[in-house]
Amino acid sequence: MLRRKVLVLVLVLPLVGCTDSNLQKIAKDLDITAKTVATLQTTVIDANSKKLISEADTRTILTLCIQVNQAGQQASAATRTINALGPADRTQLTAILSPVITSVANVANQTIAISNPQTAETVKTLLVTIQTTLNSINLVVAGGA
Amino acid sequence: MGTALAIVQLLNTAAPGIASLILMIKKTDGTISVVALLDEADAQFNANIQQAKDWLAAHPKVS
Repeated sequence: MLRRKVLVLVLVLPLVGCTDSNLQKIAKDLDITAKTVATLQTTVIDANSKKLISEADTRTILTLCIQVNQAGQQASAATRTINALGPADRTQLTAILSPVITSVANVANQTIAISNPQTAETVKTLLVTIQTTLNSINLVVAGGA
Repeated sequence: MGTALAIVQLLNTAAPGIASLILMIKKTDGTISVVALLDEADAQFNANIQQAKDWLAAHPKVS
């Protein structure tokens, strides 16, 4: 029994040290993305309940958020199974992230009719933050960071 | 070998079970925090999706 535990330790501990810094950066940025999207959703839903943003605009942003969340889940699943970024992993992550980065940029560039200027600014800032963080992940994936 | 067994016994006394040991390393050693960060991100992504879907379901599109 003790020998088996020693064997498990011997096998596990070297693996623990195998994660590379790129994966650390991707994981950290995915976590930031998830938290920023959470703030955006809460901000938009709250603004809608106060009639500061239309149903249509709220729907547009929340639909985008679902897309970002799902891409985040896929990127997380792809990152979880590897110890270092290989060419196939880079291709897969780029395919997951690129479409959603384009979608976020499109919505960020749209004029969302939010009557409260402070809320409008917050929403715009959060959208740009999400776009920047996703771009940061893509940069790591492309080998540029 | 005797030293290794002693270390394992010591570790198992401090944290019973290999799973607990790995969790300890995960929290204290930055090299494995990828998993901890992804766990945290996944939980938040799931909560976000549920929140967005709940709102969309409560506010159906009127055509």
